[in-house]
Amino acid sequence: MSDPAQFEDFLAAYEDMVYATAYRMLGKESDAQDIAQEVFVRAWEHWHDLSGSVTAGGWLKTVTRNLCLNHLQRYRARWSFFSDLKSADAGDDEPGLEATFAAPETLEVEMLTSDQRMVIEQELVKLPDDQRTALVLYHFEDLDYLEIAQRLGVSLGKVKTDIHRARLALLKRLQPQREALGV
Amino acid sequence: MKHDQNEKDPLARWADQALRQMPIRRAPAGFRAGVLAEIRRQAALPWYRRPWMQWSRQQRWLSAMAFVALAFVVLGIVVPSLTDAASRSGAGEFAAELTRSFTLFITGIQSLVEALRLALTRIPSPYLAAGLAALATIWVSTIGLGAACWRVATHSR
Repeated sequence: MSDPAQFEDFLAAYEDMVYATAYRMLGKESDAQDIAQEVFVRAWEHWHDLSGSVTAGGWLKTVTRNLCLNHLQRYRARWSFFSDLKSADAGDDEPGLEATFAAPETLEVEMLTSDQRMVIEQELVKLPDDQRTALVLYHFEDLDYLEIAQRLGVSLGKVKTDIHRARLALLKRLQPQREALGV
Repeated sequence: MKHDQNEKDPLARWADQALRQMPIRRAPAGFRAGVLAEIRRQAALPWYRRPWMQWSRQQRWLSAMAFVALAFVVLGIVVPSLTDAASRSGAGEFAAELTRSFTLFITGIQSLVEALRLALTRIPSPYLAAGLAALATIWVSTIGLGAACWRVATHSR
């Protein structure tokens, strides 16, 4: 290693960001850890360009996102038979959450309590892969619907439906918390 | 604003706000040590066991030139020599052997099809139905049941 101390500082500065990004997208600690490790191994391979670069954080985020998407694509291909059955099961014709739990006309955007933040985190991980990935790419990675559809190789309609269902699921699961806490 | 929809849709606005308040999940305690150990492990690998893109510039040039030279040797010397040898040792016999093998293969396929046709016409329909039912049962109990279990197991997520 040409400059291990500097790289270790870099690792300490960004490990949480990379790990959290991977965990949000993959929803599994072991997978997130593997991907985050791979990201930093690649960062070391490009350390000559990255050390001292102001865009190193962006580079890490992009590589994390791409590796997560590759991982999800591989997983999807491996289980395509089962996924196809499942997606057919939850087709667009099904009433789903929209029919049973319509979003209120107006929603107050308030500061969440720490309990509610925990609930959101837990529920995000529990979402089906398709919904969670689309939601995270939209709200955390700042991609628009079309970009998400292109990156995931699915239709624009599916992306919109997945994101909408994911939001509704989060809202539905947070609602009892809101009521219990009186907020 | 990067996402115009957030301005209009209250649910999207709520979700954006709620998700961005999520605490940043910290990396596990041993993560940093694991990354450094992996980097050291990869650095200790001999050059020929690393990905080609990680070889030194000289090694990549040399290996590329060696590959091109090998391709020239194979295409320019080995293939013509083999072709020449084949023509001298009687390519006609070789072609005839190939034709015989192909004919045998086709005959085999035809026999199988004929046997299947005879079986379908001579086996009484109850036996045939029972056979098909057995096949369907096998399918359901393997792939179908496996898929159903997977769906049930993941449905609660």
